[in-house]
Amino acid sequence: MDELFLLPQCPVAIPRAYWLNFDDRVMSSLLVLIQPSEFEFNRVQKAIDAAGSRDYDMEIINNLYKDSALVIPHRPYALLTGEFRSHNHADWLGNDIQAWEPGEILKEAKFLHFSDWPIPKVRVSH
Amino acid sequence: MRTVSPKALRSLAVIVFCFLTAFMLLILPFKTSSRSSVSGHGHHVSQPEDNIDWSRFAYIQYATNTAYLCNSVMLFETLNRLHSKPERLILCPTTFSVDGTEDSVESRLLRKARDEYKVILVPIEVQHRNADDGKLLFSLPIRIKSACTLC
Repeated sequence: MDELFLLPQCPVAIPRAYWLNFDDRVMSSLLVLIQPSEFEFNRVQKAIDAAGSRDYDMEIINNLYKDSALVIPHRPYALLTGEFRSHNHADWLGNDIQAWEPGEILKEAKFLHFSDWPIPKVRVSH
Repeated sequence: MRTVSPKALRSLAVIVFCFLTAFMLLILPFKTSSRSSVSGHGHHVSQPEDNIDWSRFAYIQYATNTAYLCNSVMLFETLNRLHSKPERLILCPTTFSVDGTEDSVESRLLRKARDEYKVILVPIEVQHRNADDGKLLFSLPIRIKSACTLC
């Protein structure tokens, strides 16, 4: 993924949350490319301080950067493990023509994020 | 209102986004090179990557608990195996010790990351923010205790 560092300069570059409705234009915080900035830090800090009871990292990222972030293509940079249990892969593939070949998709993917609702995240028990 | 020194603020500018992702952060370059291509004579024209100072960039993992730390170490193992060039950082709570005599899971993982995968360890203090119902919304660093090479 080193090539991502060669993208054009932008405060934030993030992928789309491709598993959600594209019309809602939701961005994902699972992978964030940032250019360090005191200005942006202050914006984020302010957003954290003002965050509501249901505002998680994705809400804050979207509120601040949904309309200005550089978009990292979700294919191949933001694959969810839940995709492999899905029945319709057009949103991941970017078209409804290509055949779904899980082995090839896994080989192609650069970054795999564990998210497979309703299966919970991995927890370590002590 | 919590105050943070200007130096910490600059440091935090790097890590402030860490809490926003449980996974990978990448730092953008401050310059980009124009694309080049192989010439018609078959001579390889210098690719942009040949002239990049990769030490100016870093992958950062924000590991506030053992599960996240384990995942982070796995990710850095992959980057190391693939000969990834940028720097590598783990931000972890000051409560995670890297002491060589310490035999906790966290200590062993941190030493593994540092010694085998060339990861820079950055101890941080973590602030927790809970929702009204007491569930953890997110945790974030408010201060780093040691120098960050990117700051």
